[in-house]
Amino acid sequence: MIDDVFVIIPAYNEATVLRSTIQSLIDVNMKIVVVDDNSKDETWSILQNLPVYALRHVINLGQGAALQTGMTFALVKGAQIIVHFDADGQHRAKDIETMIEPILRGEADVVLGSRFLRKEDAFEIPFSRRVTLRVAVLVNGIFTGLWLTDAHNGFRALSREAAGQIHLYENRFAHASEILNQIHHLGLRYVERPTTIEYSEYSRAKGQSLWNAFNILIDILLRKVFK
Amino acid sequence: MKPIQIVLVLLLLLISFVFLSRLRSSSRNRILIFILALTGILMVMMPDLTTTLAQILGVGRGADLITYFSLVGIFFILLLIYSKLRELDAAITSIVRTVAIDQAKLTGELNKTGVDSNSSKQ
Repeated sequence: MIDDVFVIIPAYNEATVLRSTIQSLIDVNMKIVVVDDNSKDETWSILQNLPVYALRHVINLGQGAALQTGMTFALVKGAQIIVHFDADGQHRAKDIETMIEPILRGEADVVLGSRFLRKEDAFEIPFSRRVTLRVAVLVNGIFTGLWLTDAHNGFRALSREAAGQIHLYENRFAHASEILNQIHHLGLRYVERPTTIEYSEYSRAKGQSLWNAFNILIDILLRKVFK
Repeated sequence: MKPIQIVLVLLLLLISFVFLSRLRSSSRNRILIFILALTGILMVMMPDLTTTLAQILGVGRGADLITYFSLVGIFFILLLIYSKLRELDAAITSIVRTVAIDQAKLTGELNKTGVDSNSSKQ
């Protein structure tokens, strides 16, 4: 059953953590697709010794583009379920099982990870980050029509049918809102599942700042004007 | 003829010459540039013409009218360029994606361990 689950990892300059992230996925027998978004560090050479499908963008396009490349590839390879997974080690490989469960049972087309469904997960989130996320939830709800408990959680699971209908045009970080927008417009069935985010010094440093959130908002607004 | 008129007419001629000779563009665009340059030269040579037009539209001076229309025109051109950029972006993305997928490779020991036996690169 778990045979046709493809985990997509967009990676940009993630050499320091990528190996352990991938190792955790190998341990749970996942097919792994890593899309190196033209990293300037050792990311690409690290991939050469790991049992993954390695794809590389010849120029840097952004996380959204890398995800879409990985999804297109996985669909060609016959993926039945596609999982989005962050390279920086903040997601837990063993959570994948609970994430794909609603799809396997045919109850949902898309499963979105949330840090706010369990109190103990929410407490793990640094305070400033929690505030930013609450604001993002609100902005997302207004612009995408999808009212969730979490925003910009990169942990998602999609059925083959859903992944085939969704196409990310936002190459940069606005894809997180774009995907919600498309779920809403395509009328896909979605549920949220609790996920534990492991905040490390590394992922914190990599996390998106408020300034980045502002850029994302601009991207969303531009997208509304230029279809 | 005032010195400013000479300067402006020369600049207009230079820009249209560069556009018509250096940039390969459609004949539609060439005609458009030609008409724009002619109109520009006409307005520089006969400023009273624009002032008359300005007063019909309720603007004091011809120069002010030109400024207003120029601003709107420039903003419009910016939008055109921006949407052109997005098109280019989409085209580049699609090329980069195709190359990445075509050159995808199965690395490491997946084959040896037998976890993935049937889907090495075709």
